[in-house]
Amino acid sequence: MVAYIIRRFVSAITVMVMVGVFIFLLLRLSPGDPAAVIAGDSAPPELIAGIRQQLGLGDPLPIQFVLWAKSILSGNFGTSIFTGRPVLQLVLQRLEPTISLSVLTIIFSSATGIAFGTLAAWRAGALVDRALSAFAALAFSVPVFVVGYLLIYCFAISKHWLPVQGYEPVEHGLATWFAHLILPTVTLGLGYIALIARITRASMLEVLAEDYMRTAAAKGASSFSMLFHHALKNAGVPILTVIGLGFAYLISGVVITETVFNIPGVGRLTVDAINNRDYPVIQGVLILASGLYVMINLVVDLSYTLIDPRIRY
Amino acid sequence: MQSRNAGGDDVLLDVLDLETHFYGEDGVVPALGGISFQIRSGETLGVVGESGCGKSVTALSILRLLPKLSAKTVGGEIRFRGRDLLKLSEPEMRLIRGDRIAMIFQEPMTSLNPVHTVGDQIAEAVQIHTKASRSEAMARAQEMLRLVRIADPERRVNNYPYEMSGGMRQRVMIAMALACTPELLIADEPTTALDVTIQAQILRLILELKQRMGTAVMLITHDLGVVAETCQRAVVMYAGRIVEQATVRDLFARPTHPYTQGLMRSAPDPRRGRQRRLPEIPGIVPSLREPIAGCSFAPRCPYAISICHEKTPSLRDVGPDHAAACWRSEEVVGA
Repeated sequence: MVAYIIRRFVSAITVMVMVGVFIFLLLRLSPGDPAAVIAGDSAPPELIAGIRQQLGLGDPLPIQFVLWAKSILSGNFGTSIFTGRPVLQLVLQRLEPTISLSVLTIIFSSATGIAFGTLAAWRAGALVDRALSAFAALAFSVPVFVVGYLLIYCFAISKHWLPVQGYEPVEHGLATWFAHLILPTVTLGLGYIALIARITRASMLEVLAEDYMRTAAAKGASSFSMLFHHALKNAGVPILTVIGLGFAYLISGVVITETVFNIPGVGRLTVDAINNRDYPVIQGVLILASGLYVMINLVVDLSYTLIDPRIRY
Repeated sequence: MQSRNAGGDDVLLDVLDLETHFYGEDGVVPALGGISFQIRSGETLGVVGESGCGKSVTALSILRLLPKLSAKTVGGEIRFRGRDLLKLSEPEMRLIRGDRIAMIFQEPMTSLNPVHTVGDQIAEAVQIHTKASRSEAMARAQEMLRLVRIADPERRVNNYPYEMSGGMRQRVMIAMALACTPELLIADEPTTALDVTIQAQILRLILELKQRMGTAVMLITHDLGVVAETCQRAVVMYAGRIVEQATVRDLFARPTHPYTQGLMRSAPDPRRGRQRRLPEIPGIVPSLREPIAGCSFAPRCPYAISICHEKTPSLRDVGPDHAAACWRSEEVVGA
C-alpha cells in the first residue's frame, strides 16, 4: 500500500512536469502581448518594450520556464501582472465560492446520478428507464450556460424563488449561502448527473445478473436491500472512477457557471486573467487545478480498497 | 437445536400441473409442461434428469426466483403447507424465502457476494427473518459455521468469500440456507461444481443437518448414484415433464419408463467391473421450441409404437407409490 502510494506520487510528479511545460508553452505561443495590454491603447512602442523587459518576457523561453518552475516549487506562484498581487493570495481569496460550488455539486450529482442509474437498472427496459436515458442524453448535450440562463429565467426572474446571481459567504448565514448556490449547483450538476447515471446503470445491470443476487433473493432480501446493500457496492468501482474522472468536467464547468451566475470564484479569476493576458495567474490556476485533479484521482484509486476487499495495492 | 418440524409424513409441498414458460427472441419455450409431485415433511426427494430437462426451473419456480423478464409461471399450483405460493404477494413470498424454504445453488464460487464477509451474509438471513440484533445474528452465524464444520469459525466469520475454497464456500451456502431452520431445503446440484473428494463430504453434511433439523430436502442432481444413496423418493424428469416417480427402492428395482432404464444403463456400475464402453441413449434431447407431438422421448425410445408419436402419455400408477408416463410401461417393466 505504502509502496503503491509512493509509486503513484512519482508518476504524479512526471505528469505535473509535463502539464507545466504544456501550460507554459500554450500561453507563450498564443497571440496577444501582456505588455501591450498593461500599457493600454495607443501606447508608444518604447513603453511596451520597457514593460516587456521588466516582466522578463524578453528572455529566451527555456530560461523563463526554469525561473517559473523554480519559484513554483518554492511555493511562489508569481505575481499578477495586472494587479501586482501574489497569485497564490488571489487564488486563496477566491477559493471559498469555488469550493462551496464544487463540493455541493459533487454531493448533489453523485447522490442523484447513483439513484437515477440504480432505478434505471432495476427497471431496465421499462418506461422509467427510457425516460431517464432520454434525460441523461439531454442533460449531457445541453451546454451549461444554456441551462444556467434557463434556470435563472424560470426560478429567479419569473418566480422570484431564488436569487438571480451572486454569492454570499457562509458567514452571512447558511440559508442565504445555500440559496445562492442552488441554481449554480443544479446547472453545473446536470451533465455530471447524466454521466454518473449512465455508468451506474451499466454497472448495476451487470451486477444484477450475478449469481449472488439470486442468493440474496433466496434469503428473502427486499428489493431495496438487494439494490443498495448487495448490488451497489459491487457496482461501485466504475462509478467511483467516473466521479473522479468527471472532476475534470467539473473544473471546466465551474468557470462557465461562475461567469453565468456572477460568482467571484477561481473560475471568474481565470476568465478575467485570460482576458487580461495575465500569464502568472493563468499558469498558477492551471497548475493548481491539475495538481488537484491528479490528487483526487489518487484518492479515488485508494478508495477502491474500501468498497472491494479483493483490491489490494 | 430445536427442530420445529420433526416427524410426520404429512405433505409439505404439493406441486400441481406446474407450467413455466421462457420467452426468448424466437418465441415461447414451455420449459415446464405441467408437472405434479409432492414432498412430505422431513423426507428427501431426488429430482433427476439431464441438463435442460427443467430441474432448476422447477426449483426457481417454487421460490418464484425466475428471471423476471424472460420467464413466467403460467399455470398450476404450488401448495406449501396448503397455501398456494403462486397466489402470494411479493412481500408475503419474501417471508417464506430463506425462512421456511431455503435454497443452495450449484456454483459456490459465484453465489456468495464478494464484497461482504461470510458472517455478514449468514447473519443477514437471520436478521431478515427474526428480531435478532446484529450481535445475536453474528453469534448465530458463527454457530452455523461450526455446524457446517468450518474450522476456526471465530476467525472465518470475518472472512470474505475470496479467502475460501469452493468446498468451504458451499459449506457457507449451507450454513446460510439452514440458519433459519427451514422446513424445506432445495439443493440444486450442490456438489456438481466441487472436487470429487469434497462431493461426498458436502452431501453427508446436508443429510446430517437435515436429520438434525427435520428439514425436508429436494435434491436436484443428474447423478443416479447420489439419489440411490441419499433419497427416499425420486422424480425423473425429461424435456420439461416428469416421466417417472417412485420410491428409490422401487425405482431401482423396477424402472418403468424407458428413459429411466436408459439413465440407469448409462451410469457406471462397479459391480459389473470395468466395462469397455457405457451404453448411451441414442439421439438427442428434443428442442422445446417446436411443439412435440406425442411422447417427447419417443424419437429415442426403443419401445416406441405409433401411439407414442401421436398422444402424450400422462403419469399413470404402475404400483404403490410408483407412477410412469409411458404407453407401454407393462412391456417396458417386463423387458
